[in-house]
Amino acid sequence: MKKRFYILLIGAGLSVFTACQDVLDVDPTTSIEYEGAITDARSADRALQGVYSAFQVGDYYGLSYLYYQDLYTDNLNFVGTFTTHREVANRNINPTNLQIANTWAAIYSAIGRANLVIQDVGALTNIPQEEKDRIVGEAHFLRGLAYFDLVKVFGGVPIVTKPTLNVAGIQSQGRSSEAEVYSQIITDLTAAETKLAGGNAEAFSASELAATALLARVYLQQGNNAQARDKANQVIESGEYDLESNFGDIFNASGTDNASSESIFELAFNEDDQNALASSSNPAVPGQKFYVSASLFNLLSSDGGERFGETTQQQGTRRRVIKYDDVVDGSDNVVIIRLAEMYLIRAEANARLGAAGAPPSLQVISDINIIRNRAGLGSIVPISNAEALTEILKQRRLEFAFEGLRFIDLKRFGQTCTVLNFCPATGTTPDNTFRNLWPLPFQQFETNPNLGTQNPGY
Amino acid sequence: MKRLLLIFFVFTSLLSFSAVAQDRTLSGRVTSSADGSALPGVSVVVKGTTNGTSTDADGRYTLSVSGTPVLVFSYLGYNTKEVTAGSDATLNVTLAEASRSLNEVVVIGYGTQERREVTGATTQVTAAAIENVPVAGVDQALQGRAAGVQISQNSGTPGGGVTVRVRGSSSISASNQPLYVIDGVPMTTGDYSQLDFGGQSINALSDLSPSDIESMDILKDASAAAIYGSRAANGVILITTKRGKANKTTINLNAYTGIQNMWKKPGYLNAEQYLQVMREAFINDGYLGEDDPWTAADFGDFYYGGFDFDAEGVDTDWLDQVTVKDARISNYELSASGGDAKTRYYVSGNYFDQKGVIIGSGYERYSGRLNLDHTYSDKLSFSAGVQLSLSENQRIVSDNTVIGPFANSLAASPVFPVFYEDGTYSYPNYYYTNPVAEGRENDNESKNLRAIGNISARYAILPKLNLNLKAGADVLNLSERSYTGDNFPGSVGIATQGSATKTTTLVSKRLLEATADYRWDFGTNSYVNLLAGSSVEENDIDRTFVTGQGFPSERFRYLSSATSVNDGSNSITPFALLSYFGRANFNISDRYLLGLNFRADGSSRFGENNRFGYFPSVSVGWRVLEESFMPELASLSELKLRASYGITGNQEIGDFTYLSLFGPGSYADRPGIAFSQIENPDLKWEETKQFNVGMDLGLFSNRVNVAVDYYIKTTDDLLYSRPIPTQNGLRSYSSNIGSVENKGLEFTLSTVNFTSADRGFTWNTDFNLSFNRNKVLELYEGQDIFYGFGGNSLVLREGEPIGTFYGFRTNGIFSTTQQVIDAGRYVDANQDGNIDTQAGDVNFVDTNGDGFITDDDLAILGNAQPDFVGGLTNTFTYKGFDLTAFLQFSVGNDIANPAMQYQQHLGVYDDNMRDIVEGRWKKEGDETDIPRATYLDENGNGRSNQDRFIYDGSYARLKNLMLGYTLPSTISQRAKLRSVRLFAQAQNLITFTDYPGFDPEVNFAGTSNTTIGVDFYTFPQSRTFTFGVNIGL
Repeated sequence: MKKRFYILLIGAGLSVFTACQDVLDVDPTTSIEYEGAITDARSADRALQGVYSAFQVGDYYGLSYLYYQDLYTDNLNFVGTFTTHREVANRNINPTNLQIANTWAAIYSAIGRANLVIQDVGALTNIPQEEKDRIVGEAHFLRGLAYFDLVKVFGGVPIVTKPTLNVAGIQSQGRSSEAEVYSQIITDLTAAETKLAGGNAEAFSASELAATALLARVYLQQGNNAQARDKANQVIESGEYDLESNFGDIFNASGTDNASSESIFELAFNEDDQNALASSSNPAVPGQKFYVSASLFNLLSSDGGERFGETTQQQGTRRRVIKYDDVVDGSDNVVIIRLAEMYLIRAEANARLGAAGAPPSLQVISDINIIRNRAGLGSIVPISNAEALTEILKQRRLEFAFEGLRFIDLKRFGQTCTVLNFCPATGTTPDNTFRNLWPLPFQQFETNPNLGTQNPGY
Repeated sequence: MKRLLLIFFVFTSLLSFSAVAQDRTLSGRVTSSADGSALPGVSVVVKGTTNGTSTDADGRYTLSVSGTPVLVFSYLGYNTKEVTAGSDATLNVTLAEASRSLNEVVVIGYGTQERREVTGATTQVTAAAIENVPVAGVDQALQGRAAGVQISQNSGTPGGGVTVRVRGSSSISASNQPLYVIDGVPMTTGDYSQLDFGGQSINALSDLSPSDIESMDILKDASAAAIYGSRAANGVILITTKRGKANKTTINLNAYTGIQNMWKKPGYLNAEQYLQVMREAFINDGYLGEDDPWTAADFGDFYYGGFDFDAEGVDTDWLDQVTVKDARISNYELSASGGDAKTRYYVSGNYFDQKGVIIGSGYERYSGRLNLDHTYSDKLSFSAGVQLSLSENQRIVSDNTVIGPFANSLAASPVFPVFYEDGTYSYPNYYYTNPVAEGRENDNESKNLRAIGNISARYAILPKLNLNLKAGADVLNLSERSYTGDNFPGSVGIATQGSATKTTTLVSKRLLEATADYRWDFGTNSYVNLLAGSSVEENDIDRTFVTGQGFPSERFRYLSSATSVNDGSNSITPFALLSYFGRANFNISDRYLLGLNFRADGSSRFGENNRFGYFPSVSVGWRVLEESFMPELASLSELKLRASYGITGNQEIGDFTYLSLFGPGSYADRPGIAFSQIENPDLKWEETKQFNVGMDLGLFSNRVNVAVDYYIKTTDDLLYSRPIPTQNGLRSYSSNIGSVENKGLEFTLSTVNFTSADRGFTWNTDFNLSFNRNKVLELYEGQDIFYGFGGNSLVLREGEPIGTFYGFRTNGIFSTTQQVIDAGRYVDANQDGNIDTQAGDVNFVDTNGDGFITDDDLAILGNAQPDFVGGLTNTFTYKGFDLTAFLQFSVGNDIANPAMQYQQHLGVYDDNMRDIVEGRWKKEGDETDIPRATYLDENGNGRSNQDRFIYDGSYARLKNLMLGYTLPSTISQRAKLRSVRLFAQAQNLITFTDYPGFDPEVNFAGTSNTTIGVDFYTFPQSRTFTFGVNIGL
């Protein structure tokens, strides 16, 4: 007995010595390996949803990028201790600003995920062509949107269209020109239009008309007014969308089941997938705060009509944003493109196509008044295209406050000197026009020697 | 592998000797000279031969001998004795316990050695040094006790994290904490909390009761530590718990209780001073006229649009409001040990209770331990040790936070009352909530149930060939509950009508290990010890949490009352380690020593191309004392030279960091996946090469012992999240790049200054001093890495140490407008009508001389690494009295306090301020080093990363002063007690420092690798007075 016990003991000892290397083969439980991740229609769609997810982060539409369009301009003020936000509010962004670096990375993260879907889903042979077109088409739309978000604040940026999967595949393209980036955006959005043609038009994911609508915005920003007009017209005439009669109803949506009738594309959030837009403007909750500027507040109050009460609210000494007001669940959807913008794009494109001094066309007047009337304001008749444009810019400020359009509007209208003090040099003051673009993140020049030159002035 | 082992066993069998014929039998008993108890397992060998045996459980031995040989009696922990056997058949021997002697046993990996034979750099801290010290954790108790080991308590948080650095920081992004091994089982250490409490972590090591510990051996150089391979780069701390001895049962009762208070309270402004600063700021910026009325109410109207309370006469000292006076600390422990030759036991129970000096904080621990040893036969023995503990921690959010009681108490302005007239909590600032409410109205408790155990068997296959099997486990179950109320304004719980979270974290470690050891004696005093072994270790971390919101009132605080359970998660992280190791220690004539260590570690954390890491080391020792050419100096009792070189690793590189992965990425209610990590199959451990030379010197029969060590430690292949151009869609990948060097000198001196035979005056001194120079040698493409507040208040730069502070240099305050004009700063660049830099503003240094103060002017401002650290312990006894004074110091380290941007904001924010600002610039011509008050602060006087907020953090601290009195045995025995000792003790009694913050021993970022020496509203340590009693039965 004793002997047998000893043998057992020695045997047990030896078995430890010879333990198999299998114990080292453990698999992650919260992630899966890339190999075999995208294999069928279901997993392809999962990867596509991951691209949308990249747009939701706090560095992007979940907070910073979206609010910065208004913070850097004249719609929002900042109260808090973060120097990153403060620099943007002061319109004095340092290239070392970490939020700018994070936002840049977040936008490229969306692009990287879209690249992967376009490449890997495109290569699948076992799913129906229609399904493949839908998934790849949506990815093209999202990539186009992301590049537009880059070009509008940074100017020319590197164009990356292939995913990076391993160390050997790390890419370090240099900056492309602004025109090349626009060309890439138009290629993507056109591809999205084609691949998504005839698909459904729900607002929570990209559709053919969302691509058309975004193209209208892109063409307008590019100065291609005729194309902008045509694309906007195409969306309006499609009959897919109707203006909400009550302005506030546009922003009630949460999750993926109740978009407003005028929403063309919006990012869905719910209580499990939150954004910080509402809490960042609510003084009852601690933290860094973005409050409505006095000038926008007063303008909304005097000229905003029904939009005033649906956009902002005085709370103590603070002026809250209430377009996004779900502080509890942080689940306000973010409307990215809606029908109202199409009317104003069509009006603006038409007005720009006409002579500045000439009276605006009836369609320009009617498009402007559609937006005014919906807000409870009376119709007006501008006497010239120039006056119409002034009214369009004003309506856009009132209509799209905190929807991420203010900065490109001021740039397109050439108003950044008068409104933001980004003026050319005079005898006594240095040139400030360079602030029409943000600096590229300082760190990117270190990690990517090919990147090229920093935006001048920084 | 199997075949190799077979060869090994066959080989070792061949080496064993056949018995030599003997002609008579000698027997006897070996006892301890101290108490006459039997000593089992004493080695009895005929000198110069391999003929020997060991004593049985009753201390008896029988040996066949011829003639009158010299017998050598040796036993770990006792002085070896040589006795010439007479012609009697019986030879009884007493052995004296070795104290402070060369025969002191030190624990090394997978075995023990006598101090005299040690060739590596190790330090031992014994029970005596850590007993009765009023701290929660053993790591705290180690502070200042060992050369080369820098320990700092990050804060005064009860049960909180402690930073332990053995020979400096060797890593940037992996771990810098040493490996802890308790009775042969590697311990789980670190912070497994799933809740965010600001910077302060909890500490899995505080689950151990310090009183259960017999000794701690710190393996510092590569030769000592290499046997722990891929986990040894930061040193190894071997913890040995107390075990029973074969003698009469002894029972010990130890108890102490005492009070804790903040040892220092820096000055803050009162309401009047505060209002005056704010007034000045608005006057200086032109918002307010000199003659405008300025009562507290006026300020409220101006700043907040009116107060909703009567501000007249309010002057709240917020710090007082959150401080607990005379917070209790108590500890009770009872242990019994004893046994017989067959079975020995040690059993203990402990209760430790520490209330925090800030409201809402506290730590309690219940623990018990049972250690059992059983000798089944002279071939087979078993041991087991098991510890169970339950700790309950009341936590508060601390450090970098706007919702912590301590942080908010420093920030809250004195013009607000704690409560409004209707009894509800006030909302004292825009950014900060009511600190009293944060402390009282929130629940944050964690309960940690910990089981650590091991069972082992030892079997002698051949007389000197043993096989050891060990199974061990360390299981930690951390359960946390938090509730944030909605019954005070500004609470994060308001939006959600109260929120609660419950988490469970189960961290389990299972170890299976087999070793074989063999000792071969040859020649005189010469032998080789061989060890070979293998182990498998499997770990899992299982995390779960669930949160809910919408509570009927603050009286409902558990998730069952939530209106919605809105978030939850579960994940499991496994990792495994498979290891083979071996060691050979040669001792030739007690003169030449050679040690070889080797370990191969396979880890699930390493990339496919580097699954196994190999960690060899070699060490040599030369006991010069034993050389024949050494003159016989009576005063010289030890002279040994040591040198070692070896490689160790650090495998704390994260799990699965080498794979290319998809993680979850859902879009609202649509499940999704997102590419999250690029593949790096070459990923491996960090590798540390360490060279050590040392000398041990003993004088006057070892009344003076000196150990000096010099080391160079270079860590390569640093784990680094290598940044890639973010246009790739990801920011970085885990890679091995960069290197760090630590060089240092360690000096230990212990002296017996006075001895006395009959309870007269004795005086012992222990002194240690360590110099470590840390330097980053190489970073990815030489690029600086910026981090810290604002993203660039600390820098990792080649040639500079880890913990280098970065920021703006300043050159005083502009005293006059003319000075500003002369400096070319009298401009209004942003055209807002205010001159950007005015008299009274900080003169930031335009480092690059371009005329502007921009990020390009940032420079190195200091660093957190001390020039030297050390400890000095003096122990005096006289009659029944004993007095121990332990002084601990750190010299030359800087502390950055970026919170000073708020605590000296001078009008920019609405926080209260330190009284330092009373010396501010007030009028043209004032010469001061504190700038003027301004709300706009266009010059950026308050920016956090400037040298005005970097302070000399040097300190010396009378860490512990203990006075004890042991009752004469005549009295205690009358009460049927073996011994009775009463003691009084003061912890942190006196601190010498120029640091203006709360406490120079500080680190807001918990146990971070790279953010060190930063104070950001960190919970300070307290001064503790305790009284206690030690009773022996």
